[in-house]
Parts: sequence; structure tokens; C-alpha cells
Amino acid sequence: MKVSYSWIKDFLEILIDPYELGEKLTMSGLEVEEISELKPAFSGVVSGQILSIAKHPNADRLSLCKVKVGEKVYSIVCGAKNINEMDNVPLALPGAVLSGTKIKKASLRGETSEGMLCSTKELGIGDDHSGILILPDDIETGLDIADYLGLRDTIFDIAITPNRPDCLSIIGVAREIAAITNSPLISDVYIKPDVDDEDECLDIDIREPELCSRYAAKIIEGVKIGRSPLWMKIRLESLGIRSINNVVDITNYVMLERGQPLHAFDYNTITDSKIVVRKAQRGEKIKSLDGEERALDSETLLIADSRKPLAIAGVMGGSDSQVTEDTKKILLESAYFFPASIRKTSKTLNLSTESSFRFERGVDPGDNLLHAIERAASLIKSCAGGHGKKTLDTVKSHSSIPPEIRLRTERVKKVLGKDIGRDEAQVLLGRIGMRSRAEKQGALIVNPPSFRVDVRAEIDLIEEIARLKGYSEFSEELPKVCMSLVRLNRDISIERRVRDILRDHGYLEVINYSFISSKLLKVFGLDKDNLISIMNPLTEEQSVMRPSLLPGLMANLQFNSNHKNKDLRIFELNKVFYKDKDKTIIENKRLSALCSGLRFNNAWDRADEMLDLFDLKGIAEGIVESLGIADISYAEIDNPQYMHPARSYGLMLNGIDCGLLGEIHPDINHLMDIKSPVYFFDIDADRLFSIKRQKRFYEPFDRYPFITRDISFFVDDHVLSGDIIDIIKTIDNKHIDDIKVFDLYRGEGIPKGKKSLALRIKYRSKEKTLTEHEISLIHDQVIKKLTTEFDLNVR
Amino acid sequence: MIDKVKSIEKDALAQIKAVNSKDDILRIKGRYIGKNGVLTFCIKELKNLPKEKRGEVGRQINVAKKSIERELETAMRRFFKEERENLFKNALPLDITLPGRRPPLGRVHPITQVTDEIVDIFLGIGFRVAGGPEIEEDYYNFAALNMPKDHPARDMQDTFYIDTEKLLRTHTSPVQIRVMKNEKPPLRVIAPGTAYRRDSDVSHTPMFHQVEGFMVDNGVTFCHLKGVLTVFLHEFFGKATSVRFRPSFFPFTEPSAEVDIECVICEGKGCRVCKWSGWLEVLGAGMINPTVFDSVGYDTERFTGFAFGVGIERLAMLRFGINDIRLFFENDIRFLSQF
Repeated sequence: MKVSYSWIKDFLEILIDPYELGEKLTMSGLEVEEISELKPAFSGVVSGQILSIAKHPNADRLSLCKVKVGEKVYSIVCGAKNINEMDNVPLALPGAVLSGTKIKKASLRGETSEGMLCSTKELGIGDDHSGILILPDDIETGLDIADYLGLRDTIFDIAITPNRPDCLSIIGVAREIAAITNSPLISDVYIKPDVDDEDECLDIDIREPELCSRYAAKIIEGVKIGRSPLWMKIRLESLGIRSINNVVDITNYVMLERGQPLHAFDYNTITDSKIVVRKAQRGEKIKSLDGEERALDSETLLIADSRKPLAIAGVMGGSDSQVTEDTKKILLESAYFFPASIRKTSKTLNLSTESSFRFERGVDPGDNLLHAIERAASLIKSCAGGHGKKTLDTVKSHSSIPPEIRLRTERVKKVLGKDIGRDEAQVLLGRIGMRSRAEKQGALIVNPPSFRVDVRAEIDLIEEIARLKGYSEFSEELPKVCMSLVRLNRDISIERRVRDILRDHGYLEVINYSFISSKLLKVFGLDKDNLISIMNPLTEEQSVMRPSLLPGLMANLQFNSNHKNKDLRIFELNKVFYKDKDKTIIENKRLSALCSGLRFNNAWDRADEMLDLFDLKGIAEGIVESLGIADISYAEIDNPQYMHPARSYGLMLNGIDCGLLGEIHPDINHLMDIKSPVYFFDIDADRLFSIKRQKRFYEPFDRYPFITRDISFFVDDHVLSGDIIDIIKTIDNKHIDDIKVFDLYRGEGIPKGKKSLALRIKYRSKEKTLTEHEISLIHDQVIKKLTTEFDLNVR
Repeated sequence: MIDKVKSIEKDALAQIKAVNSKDDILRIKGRYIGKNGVLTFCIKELKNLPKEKRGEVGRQINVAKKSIERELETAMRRFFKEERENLFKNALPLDITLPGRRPPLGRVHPITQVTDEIVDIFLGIGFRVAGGPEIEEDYYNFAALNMPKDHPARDMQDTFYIDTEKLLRTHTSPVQIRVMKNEKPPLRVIAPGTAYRRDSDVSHTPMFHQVEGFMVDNGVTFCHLKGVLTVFLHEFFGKATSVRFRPSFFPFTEPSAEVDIECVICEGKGCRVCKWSGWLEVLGAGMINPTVFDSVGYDTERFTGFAFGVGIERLAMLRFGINDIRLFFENDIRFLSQF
């Protein structure tokens, strides 16, 4: 909220400069986000009085004025018609600057002009250039016009927290400054009604006392709608409020000053002199001040007359009852509407105004609304004429006024950790207008002022004490606690380990948004009915919770490819979201990685080696093994649409389905304009982390030497090396220690549909050194078995 | 016989001295001490000598053999050395500036790095880690945290909704409620995690990361809040960093504080990053509101506690000098590989 320093000074003497004040406000909980200096668009303009006006001898349209500034009299040539002798006017003397132009002594049609009289337009404070700005009669000459008009000011932009609606006004901030600088407010904050006001027959019917506990109205007759006085216009504009007409400006002015939104109705539009505060009927409509036709629901609180709605209570007036140029008689409204109701209406209508903002946070439910209406009435009287009737104040309840609260000093100590005695608490609270009396038992009975609607419990008082004392007054202490065992959670330490392994193998961790484009999901065939959508997404790109990490990773690959980084190893360890069969929302942590492009980014002798599936398979196996899971196998799976139909495998850990590994479907590469094949694994991390890990026990080394025998053969391309190895192991698991594939070859010299496979078998016994003969016996069995099991020829 | 042995030795040594190649050495070795060498022949001859002479002659043969072997060895070594030197002299030059062979260096995301560091610091002072769902119920995210429906404080956190009751959590504070509903004090817990707000500009992303922390016990005070958070900030930003606490408002804590550190960019002198204030807001905190304890069934007279929330992106931006929050989620490898 914007606050004017000079306006605050109407209510308080401030002895420190604006920047020091800003710092103090910030440290007391009113965070000053910005301090800006307002400067006039001109300089060197002073007030002067016109002594005489004579016709210019050589020009019909011009006149010659003698203008007095202090003891000096200047001759000025002027073209405006609205000036009279004895008028006070702004005079730009030679050396003054008006909208960037320097004023000089000049000769106009043979007559010397020692300056220039100014209009509001020339001063940059209005758009009226037809006439000179006429200043009030009672001012001295020689005043700096910028100072006089209040054009030099400091504007604070303060972040008012939602609990402090009492600070949404100049007086509210002034009160706060008074409290923190421990200096009194200049008293005349409260306004007494004008005793001359007569009664008026007006019927106020509050049908929803739950939503409107108090409604004050005042009728003012004989007003003349016109421009606002310049000083008011300048103040409103300095805080970002556009000037409309004197009456409307005054309601805004009083709202800014006192925090109480007011509304002015054209009295003649009110049927039967009756104000009804009621809920809207279903289907009821109102055209609001902004010209919108608004359909209302039955929860909306309305200000109506006996026939029709006049305003959306607390939010915006109706255009049919608004004050216009022809208005002569007005009804001023100053009311208390319940915050939740106004907030609901404002949300439903998607209409937030200065008024609704204050009501939904909670205006002062006490007598401030009367002070505000009287203040407005007196301003109207002086700026728009007319005479007021007595204010009609209808009170339904006082339930919003803060209650009496008991404050215990031992509780203050228990929460704040510092002894603050009863007397000190009383003094501190007194500074923010809280009256209190001491109880015999040592407690304080505190009465918060009505504007502190946020103070309703003991803890609220404790907060105020801490705030007024200053947070820096509390020491920094470490709690004394009972020891207890704290270790990093198993899942988190596994996650860290997995990330480290991937990092050490060249993988970059990415973090993608959890929401994704439904269009992108469609590319992957993931646009199924188990998706979770966001009701109010910011964009289509972020409208669905991702059911898989893959689309995000592929988008990362695409993004980096477009930036000429096509060789990529990335992974993500994060949640995916979907609904299961019973529509329950599932959050599932996944570990997905993909790689594509060159194997080495800095190779000078293997520069064109491309990554392949076995690079990624090795990483996946490394991770799984390091977690103490020995049993990894690959299964045929129901191939997801996004995987290569012939190169995609289910990943089984200890026989449990944990994810998949393979190559991304070339169609997707094509759609996303990615040239190299992409290899991908996706592991259900929740499942992976929960799989029982093998305990590690020391095994003594083998005592007897091993001997290797190689064997190579052609075999049908479809036969898996793993199957061959499994079969060999069954022949003699006591003496066959290990089997490795050491060569795989297809192509020249190999029959079509076959591959050449070479295995190295390691023979060893735990009991003795095997003889050549013993080994040959087993090896022959191996060859025989392979020949019969697989249609192959050992070479 | 002794003379014969001596002359054999003399010949042999003279020949060894004159060798020109390794082959020469091997030849000499064969000629004198090989299977059919002349000295070997002498050994065989020993048995033909009278017994009393055998001892002396045998010794002499041994001496000769040893000396020949020694000289052969020396000569051999000399040739090896020469050969090596030639080999090194003629070796192909190696370009050591060529890069070593390795996969490109991977990185853990800066957000993860900073999260881990925060977790480790709090672990070090006895906090344990808890978590909760990201698709959260209105109750845990708002109502139980003293933000009933139609509460203006909800405006502080613009929310993504899944349906009328479920939403993307706007902070990690619901973990507070989940833990407190299940466990009794004393509690010292941190909850790192992802949160979401309907906000997107240079300084806000619709998804971000937080670490929530709280401590509840009989006797936890505002001074403890200041103590624990100061320890944390000093550990994270350095012992010399000034820290200040100023009043603020959160519905679920009272009194509430925002915590600033002296600007790490300008060291408090004032710059663009700290908006010329010399201070940077790094976390929000406060004493847990008794209303929150009420909603989890704790005795508000007995227990007090503090809670805080740290924005991880914020800390990561300060730690690494990152000026645009959106970089974290663009996943440009030119960015990711810097940390």
C-alpha cells in the first residue's frame, strides 16, 4: 500500500527522516518495500498577487499585469482571460523551468514580460490550460508553489500483512509510527458531527445482521458536483487514485485517510427513501460502476432500495445510483460488512476494489465509521456545498469488536523466553492504544482498541509485546534437549547414493516441472484416463500432472539439441502422479535416465563412438548392484507406445517388476526432431528402495588356481547369450566358476541369421587343483550340451 | 690343472671385455659355463683327479666360474642399459595435453545440492527428516494451519487446485500437521520438498522447493527460534554474516518473523539484488500458533514450538550467484554443468 509522508504529517510530528522512518517501520512489521520521492515537474514558480491588469497596446488577446511578489513588482504579459485584480496566481520567474523549458525575460509584441503566469497544465498537475490557476485569497506571496501544493513528497510502499487491516490507512500508519517512535498523535483524529444537522426521514433495514452489523447513512442536500480542490487531487494522485469529481474524490480521500470505505449514492435514484441490506435473489442482476452487467448469486450481499439493487455491498456501487454531474442530493454510506462475505463476493465476481480489499480484511467495527462519515460530510460541505442531515446509525451487533483478553506474564515468558514484567507489558501495549488493568493474581486484563480486529487472544498480545520490544532485544539461545538418535532416513541416503553414482558416470540431474502439457503427453501415448489435471493451470503447457518422467527428459533433450548440445546424459529422480483403478491419487517416485549421442565428448581417437543401450544398461546394473540387489533380469513386457518395439525390456529385480530399459521409439525421435537414437531406463524408485538388500559377508579367496578354456561357435541370432550361459552353469556348478562373453561378431564370414559368439569359461575347484584331464571332461560335456540344446557348431 | 683353469678364466674375462653384442655374451656364456662349456668340462674332469687335489682345483673352478658369471652379468647389464636408452631416445613423442579418456562429468542439480546441505546442517543439531504428499488436502495445507476458507491470508499463496478438496501444496508446512497428528512431542523435524504456487515471473516459478522445519517441546521459546536459525544461517552463509529478525505475519505462527541476512553480494552496502537495503530476506519463521496445536490435539498450555520455512531456490541463487530463478527448471546443460 502506498502512503504519503506529508499526509502522515497531518497527524503526527515526525522528527526523523523518511529513510530512517522506513527502516523503523520495516523492523516493526510494516515492511517498507520501496521509498520513492515525488518531485514537481517544474521549478522556480512562486505565488504572486495581481495588482493591476491593463490591455496590451499592440495585441488584443494579451494583457499586461503587474504582479507583486513580496516587495517586488513584476511586469507580466499574459493571454488568459480568467484573471482578476487581487487574484493570487503561480508566477514562473526568469530561471524557472516548466516542463523542461527555461523561462526567460522576453519581449512580447513590444512589451517586456518578466515571467509567466501558469495554468495547471503548465505545472504538470492538470489538463486545464484555458486559464491561470487561481490560488486561494489568503496566502502569502513568494511561496514556493511546489511546496504549497504538496508536490514534494515521499511515498512509502508498505507491504501490509493480512492481519493488519488497521494499517490500510494514513491514520493507521500514523498510529503505528506514533507507537514505535513513542510520540503522540496530533489529536483531532476524531470528528464530531455538525450540530446544525437536521433529522431526515430515512428507513434502514438490515436484513442480514450476520453479514452487516452496522450501517450509517447521511443525507446531504444541495451539493454541487464539480472538480475537486487541487490539493486533494494531488494527494489522491500521489497514491494512485484517479480524480473523478469532488464527492467521489472525497469518499476516496476519507477511505485512504481513515481506512473506512464510503459510498455516495444519488439520493434521487433511491425509491421510497429506503435502504435494504439483503442478499441477492437468484438471477438478480446489477450494472456496476465499471459498466459491467453482473449476474449475482444468492450469497451476494446487496444494498438495495424497496425495489432494486443499488450496490454490491462493500465491493462496488451500481451505475444507476451513482453520483453524476446533475446530482443535487446524496446519501453517504459508511458500514461494517463481514470480511468473509465480501471476500466471497469479490472472488465470485472476480472483482477486487480498494473497498472490498479493506472490508475483506476487516475494517474498524467501532465508531470509526461515524468519524469517517462526518469527516466526509465536512469536506463535502467545504468543497461541494450543501447541508447535511443527521447521520442515521443502525447497529445490529458489536461481535466484531475485539474482546477483553487476559494476559499472564508467565505465559509471555514461556513463549518469548524473556522476562517481561507486567508494568512493562502495560506500557508497551498502551503505546498501541490497548487499555489494560492489573489483576490481583498478576495478570493484565487488556482491552484492544476496536480497530485491532486481529487481536483476539493472549498470543496476539504476546506478539505485540515482542514486536514493540523489538525482536533484536531477544537473545539467541540454543535449546537444551534430551538426546535421541537421529540418522538420515534410509530412502534419502539411498537417493543420495543413486545420484552420486549417476553423477560419477557423467549424468546431469535435471528437475522438471511436475505439470506438463497434455499435447506433449499425447506424443508419448500417455494421454490416458488415469491423468490428474489441474483445475486452474497457468498455461496449457502446465495443465496435467506428469504420469512419467520421460516426456520432461525428452523435452530437455530437444531443448539442448536446439542449442547444439546433442550429446546428453541426464536423469531425474522425482515423483510422478496418476490415479489408480479406484481413482485414488498415487504419487510414485521414479528414477529415469536417458542418454543419446556420442560416448565421449573429448575423445581424439574414438571420436565417433556412439552411446548404445549397453552403456545405459551398465549404469542401471551398477546402481542396482551397489544397492545390494544381486538378481537382475530382463523380461518381455507389454511394450509402451513410446518404446522401440524390438528394443525394450522389463527390468526385474529379485523377480519383481521394477521398470523398463530400452530404446525410445524412432517415431518419437522423428516428432521431436531428435536425430540420434535415445536410450532410456525408468525405475520405480519406491519399489527399488524397498527391495531387501543382501547383507554382505566376507568370503575367503579361492585357494586353488583356475584354468580358462575358450569356446566359440555360430548360433542362431535369436539365441540369447544369457540363456547359453545359464545352461552351461547347470552342467557342473562345482567346477565352472565363471563364464564371460568375450566376442560377438556378425557379418562377413558368418552365415545369415547367425552370430559368432565366443565364451571364456573359468574352471576351478574349491577342493583341489583341477588337472587338464578333469577339465577336459567337463569342457567336453559343455560342448555336447550346447550342441544338443542350441543348434550350433562349435568351432 | 689349476693353471689351466686360471688361463680359461683369463681368456674368458678378456673375451667378455671385448664383447660387442648381447649375442656375444650369450655365446661366451655357452662357450665357458654352458652345458658343454670348457669350465663345465673341467668340473666333469674333477673326478679324474687324485682325491687330495680335487678340493683345491674345485675351489679354483668355482672362483673362476663366479668371476666369469659376474663379468657376464655386468656386461649384460651394460647392454640392457644401452638398449633402453636407445629405446627411450627413439620413443614416439607423447602429447600429454591430449584429454584423458572419461565420460563427461555429471552433476547433481544445484537445488538438490543445497537441499542436501540444509538437511545435513539440521541433522547435525538433532533434527530428523519427514515428508508428505505434494497433492495435498485443503485441510492440511490451509485449514489446520489456521487458514480457514475465505481467509485473506490465502491470498498470500495463490493455489493450483486438483478438485475442490485437493490441491498442490503451496508450502511444505502441511508436513507439520501430518507429523504432529501422528506423534507426540518432543519433536525436531525438517521436511524438504516441492511446493507450488500459481505465480510465474522473473522471481517466481510455479513450482519451487522449500525446507520446512519445526521443533515442539515443553519450554521452546522465541529465543530458541533465534538461536537455531542463526546457527543454521551462520553455517550456510558463514559465521561473519549478520542476521536480523523482523516482525511479520503467517497465520500458522505467532509471533512471526522474517529473517534477513546481510546482502552477500554487496556485504550490506546496498545493491540491485538487495534493492539497496543491504539485507536479503532468506526465510520465514515464528512460534507455532496455539490454534495449530489445537487442530492436532496438543496441550497448548504445556507445549510451545517454533517453525520455519526456507526457500531453497533463494538460497541456491545466493550461493551460486544465479539471477534468474527460471534457469533452475530450464535444464540447459550449459547451466547444469556449472555446479
